Amino acid sequence: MRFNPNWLVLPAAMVAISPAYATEYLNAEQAAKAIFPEADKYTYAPVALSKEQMKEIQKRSGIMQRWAKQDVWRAEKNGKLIGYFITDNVIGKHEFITYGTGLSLDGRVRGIEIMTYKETRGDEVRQASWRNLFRGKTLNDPFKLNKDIPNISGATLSCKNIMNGVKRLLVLQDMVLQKA
Amino acid sequence: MLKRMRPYLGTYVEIGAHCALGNEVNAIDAAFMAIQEIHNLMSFHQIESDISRLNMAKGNWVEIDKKTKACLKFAKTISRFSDGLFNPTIGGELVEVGILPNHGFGNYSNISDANIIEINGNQVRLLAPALICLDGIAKGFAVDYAIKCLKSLGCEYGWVNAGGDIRVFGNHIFPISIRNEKGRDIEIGGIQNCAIATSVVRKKHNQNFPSWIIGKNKRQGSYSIMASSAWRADALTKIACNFNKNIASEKITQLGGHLIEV
Repeated sequence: MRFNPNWLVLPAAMVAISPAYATEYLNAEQAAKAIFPEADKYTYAPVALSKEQMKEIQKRSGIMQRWAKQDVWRAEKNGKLIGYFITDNVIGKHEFITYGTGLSLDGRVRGIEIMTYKETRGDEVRQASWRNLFRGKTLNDPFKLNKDIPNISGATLSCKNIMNGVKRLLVLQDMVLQKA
Repeated sequence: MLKRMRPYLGTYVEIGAHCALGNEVNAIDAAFMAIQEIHNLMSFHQIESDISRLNMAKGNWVEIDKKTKACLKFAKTISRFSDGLFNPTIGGELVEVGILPNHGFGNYSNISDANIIEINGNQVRLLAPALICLDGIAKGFAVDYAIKCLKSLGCEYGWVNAGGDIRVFGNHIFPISIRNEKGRDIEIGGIQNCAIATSVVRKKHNQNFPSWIIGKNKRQGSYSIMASSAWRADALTKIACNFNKNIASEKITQLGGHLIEV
């Protein structure tokens, strides 16, 4: 086995930069269309949960339902409901993520699309400015959105927070959304 | 140019591509399906995967997909050339420390010898009751497979980043940063038509970063490997920390990679 370098490394200085950037992939409408391309209408139908319902979701999924309002869209085709598109946030120790998931009426996951992704250091998560970054879609935050550095090689971050989120949303669907 | 991110392989996978034909959406969808296919074939967690069926076959022949076969062959090869430092029979030890699930395997032993994996045609069997785990190489293998998919659909350039295992292709220079164990990003410049992977060796297991390297003499630190394919870069990051610092670079070069320690 011989090492045959066929790549190019620019003679850049080794510079440490702050990981203060976020990547925006899709807005809610684009994500809904990506998961339910056959739908002709997406109706915004947010769900308001009572405290009891929030507790019940936590009891059944094992995951805390942190907010009383969940953004839900009804995906429809020819006036018929075909599934739900739900947006949700992951606020982990190392990541701030907004994602959308499509659930079919029989409670199966149609797809998951990351809408906005930000990987961060643990200490930054506690700062209010970081939390604000993920509030709404405005992104008028003090951090520059750097779209030129898409490739970061580092220790592999687990996606268990997303999987837990989806597990929670499946329970939410079972409890409060119309089945057919 | 279009990029998307989805959760696969236990991590976040970003795929980006530029296609002059304008078929980025389809190409990226197909590349994600390729990732999912490898995930389903080689996952230790999923009990219906080729690897789980092999681990539960009690030494009997198991029919496997040709991609699983290719990955097992890569694992055996890199194990042989690294004198067993790369070890795809590590599953049992990882089950014992609670990092991997026990699917009710019964009795198994911790044998560090990839030669117990016997391949014949599209069948494979284990000559000793060890547990096979391709987690040290399958993510890179999945990245390579997804890149092949983007190329076959006519993309001019693109990349796949599976939780830090990155491969890029085409007439485009991609800026790369390495995130070290302290969470700092170190710019290393641009790469073209190659792969890079990073493993961080910590004192204690961290559920947020579940990768865990077994080795008696492993050194703590952040190890990045550049190579022509992602499977090789991925596999060599598992070996680098087990070499003494003054020979690690040379040994990794002999195995077809380029070591970067930041």
